[in-house]
Amino acid sequence: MEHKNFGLTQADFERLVVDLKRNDTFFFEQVFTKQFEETMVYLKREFRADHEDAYDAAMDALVAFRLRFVQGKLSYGNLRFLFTKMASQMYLKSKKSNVHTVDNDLLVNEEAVETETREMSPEFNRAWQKLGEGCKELLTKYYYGKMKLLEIADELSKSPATVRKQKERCVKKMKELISVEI
Amino acid sequence: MKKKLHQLISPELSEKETDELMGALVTQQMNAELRQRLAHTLKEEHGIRREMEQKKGKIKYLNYMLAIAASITVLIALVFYPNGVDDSPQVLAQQYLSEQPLSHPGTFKGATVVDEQRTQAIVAFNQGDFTKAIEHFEALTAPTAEDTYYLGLAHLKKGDYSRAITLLTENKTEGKRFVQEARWFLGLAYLTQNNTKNAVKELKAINKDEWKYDEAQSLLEEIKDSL
Repeated sequence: MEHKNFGLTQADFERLVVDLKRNDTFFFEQVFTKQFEETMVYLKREFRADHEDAYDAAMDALVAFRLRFVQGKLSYGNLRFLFTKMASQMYLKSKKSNVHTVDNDLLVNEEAVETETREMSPEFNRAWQKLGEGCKELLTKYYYGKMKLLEIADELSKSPATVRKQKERCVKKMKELISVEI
Repeated sequence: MKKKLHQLISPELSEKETDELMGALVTQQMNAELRQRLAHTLKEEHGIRREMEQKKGKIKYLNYMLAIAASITVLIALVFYPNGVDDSPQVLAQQYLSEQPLSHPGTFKGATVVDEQRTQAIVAFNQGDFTKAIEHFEALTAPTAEDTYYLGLAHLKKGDYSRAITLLTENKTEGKRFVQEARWFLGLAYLTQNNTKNAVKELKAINKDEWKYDEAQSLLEEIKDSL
């Protein structure tokens, strides 16, 4: 079973999800960068993808996979198959191919193929760097880690009301910093 | 992007809209940072760059030597054929073979003896040590179609064209997975052996939407011109 899941045990999988919710991506990076080249070679062979397209598709799949981990949409079972299919979708989408003509099994679900901008906004980035570490951590766990305020409160040993107010203050601060940058 | 930032700081935005927009922007920021970290790890720990990387070690050295050999061939042709470069199909086939990057996609982690042999074979193949790759592929007790295909390629890269032809032909007839690749490499292998008839047969079998169709057509033209 482990070989189908990038060598992860069930316990490793659960640890990975917890880490990613806290935006601790070290374990995720260690596991998935080992598979990166294999995925690129697969795309080059199966779809005749060139090097850069294969790289981008594999990278997009990594980012999308992280999201699915924190959303709880992935189960331990056959991560390797899912990841390969996701990378295939990313590649085909980038080529604006009609995925239906290739193989309907490739479609995990339509929403799996995302079209977000890869670059960061310079203005947002400058504002973000000026935000205090406490706020950055809170907003990252809430928005990026998809943690509920109750979960964050438990982790910080604070009341949910305190965490909610802190989040509101952080959002307000971030808006002030952004208004200076634009 | 600036439009979203202006929307975010707008006092007319509701709490829900602020939350959604802030969420999207934070996600974009964190994803961009994640991509940067991943790119750095891929480059530093795995030697993988977005731009086509220069291969390291033996493979780089081998390609460098083959490139020199190809250049010397061209120079010799220029000396003995001053009216034009010898683009004989056999020379072109050799160039295609030497320039074609080949790597095995790898295998799953496992602890069995068979898997260990396969792992060793794949590592050797990807390092360009085709002798070792052949040794390990041939030690597999239950080789898959993929194993036979890469064994054939290892023989091809080593210059054992007859053995490569046997394996790739066997692989092509047993299953469809590597048919396109097998046809191309069989075409090249037959050309290096001056077996033009079989080379043409394989290259003509490559259809328009298949791998290396354009290169196959170029080679067929060269073969036609040389006859």
